[in-house]
Amino acid sequence: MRSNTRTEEVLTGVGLVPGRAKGRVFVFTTPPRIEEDFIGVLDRMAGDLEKEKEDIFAQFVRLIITDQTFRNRLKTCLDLGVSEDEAVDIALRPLVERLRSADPFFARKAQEIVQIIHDILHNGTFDLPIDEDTVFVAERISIPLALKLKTRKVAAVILKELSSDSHAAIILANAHIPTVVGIDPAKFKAGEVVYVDGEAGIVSRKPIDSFDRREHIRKGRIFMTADGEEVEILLNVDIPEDVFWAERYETGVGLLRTEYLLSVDLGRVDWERFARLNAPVIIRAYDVGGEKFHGTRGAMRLLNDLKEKFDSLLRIVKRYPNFRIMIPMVDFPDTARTFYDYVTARGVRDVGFMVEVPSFAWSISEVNDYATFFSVGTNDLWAFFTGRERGTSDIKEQVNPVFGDLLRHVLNNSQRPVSVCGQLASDEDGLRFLLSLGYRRFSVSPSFFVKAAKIVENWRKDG
Amino acid sequence: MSKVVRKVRLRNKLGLHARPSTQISSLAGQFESNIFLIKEEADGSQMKVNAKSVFGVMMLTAPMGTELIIEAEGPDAEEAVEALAHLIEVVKFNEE
Repeated sequence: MRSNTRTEEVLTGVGLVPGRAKGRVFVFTTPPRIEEDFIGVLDRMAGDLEKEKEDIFAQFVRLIITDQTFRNRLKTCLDLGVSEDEAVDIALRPLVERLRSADPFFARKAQEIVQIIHDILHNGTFDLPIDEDTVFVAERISIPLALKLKTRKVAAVILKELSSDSHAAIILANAHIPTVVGIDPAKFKAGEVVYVDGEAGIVSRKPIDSFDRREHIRKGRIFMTADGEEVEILLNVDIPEDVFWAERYETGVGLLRTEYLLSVDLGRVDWERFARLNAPVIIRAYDVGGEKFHGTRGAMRLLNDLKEKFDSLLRIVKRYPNFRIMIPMVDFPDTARTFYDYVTARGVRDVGFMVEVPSFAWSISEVNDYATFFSVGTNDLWAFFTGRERGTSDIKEQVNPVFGDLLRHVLNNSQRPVSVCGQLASDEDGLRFLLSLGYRRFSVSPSFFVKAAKIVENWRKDG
Repeated sequence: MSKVVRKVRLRNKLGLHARPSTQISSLAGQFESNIFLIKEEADGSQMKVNAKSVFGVMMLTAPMGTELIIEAEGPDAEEAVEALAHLIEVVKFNEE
């Protein structure tokens, strides 16, 4: 094992807002409670939001926090002695339910709105010691903080997570504050001087011009191992707006989750952005049921109660040559054949299958005729294989010789390309384990992309 | 003070979701009059909400094709109804 304790000189994330800046790190942690009357805080925030006239989402938030219905509900809860946090949740509940159930544009925003109101409550008036010399570092931010960063004109922002469509991102972009995403705040010491390059997605402890930026940037779909083997690295994308990451890294999408799209008009998704990636885009059909949603899980649902939605998805796939459909939770070769027949009858040429049920992994040699590709979902496969409850064991446990035998069986008995889109591929030890088993195609989470590329480049068969 | 009432029909594809609700409440808020939106439920009962409350407007749950009644009472009731009807039926919230 290599030691990683030395402070890294250059950290790589993804550039969200271009521009370069230098400044002192301010690490933002859990905000302190406000002392002021809550309603006063809401009024002040509403005033700030009102200035963002062109911004429909900011106006929506403003209307909510000034809404008499909301305030009455809030006041009733507070009068009953409910904590402020809980009062916010209760006061917003009908609205959140409504957003979740019927609204396509704001379905995903429901939780964000609740978070925003909480943030207003927690740091609406807190005076952060930040100014034009500050590089603001945080796990993530929401609208109230973004507005504060904008008014204080901070030099740059570094975040661990921020979905590209999140409203805070739009505020930072409009304010031209260089922003890098995907770097853990724990890597910084308060007060240290850093250089930020929002274009390259780099944060450095030495001036950006003093080194070759290219050494730290990784882009593209194919990377070479140290002994010259090609390895493909694609990205897992949770929601369509996150196509942003694939654009920045110039690669394809190995897993586009579609569960979120169940409540959205597919016509409103900007599919052209995916088409322009000029790389494969693998769309996994709705994987619902089980613990993720109520009801039974399994591929056959796509041909029963989800048939209409599945058909719409197939029409999208058919429209763009780089799109592929992938079927989750397949149990036996017969099921794969049923899907192959169904999909080809609708003019879609290629179909891939998730390998995440042990019976399917075991019988993969009989599926070659019906599949164009396979992708291993390691978390489910591990859970079903070992009888562990999903998500309860450490990812590192999957680096296990018996599990390795199963994964090797899948690779060796398939005549089609097999990739791994499961979480194991987004873990340092996991990725090395998969490389050692012979896997050469991966789809990883965006925050792991650069790391994955570097691991591949240093990889040698003889170790 | 006279009461002004007008019937309108939602013509945008997605009905009264968050974005149109924001536009309605923002616009309604510019008038002095009390303004209400009324929707007739399937059982004949009426749901009446304050058009200035985005919370209320969202609660109407009105999809495309829904018929709504705009009701305003106050010094600028006429203008308020006219402006809201224009937003709903002519501008259609700048949506499909």
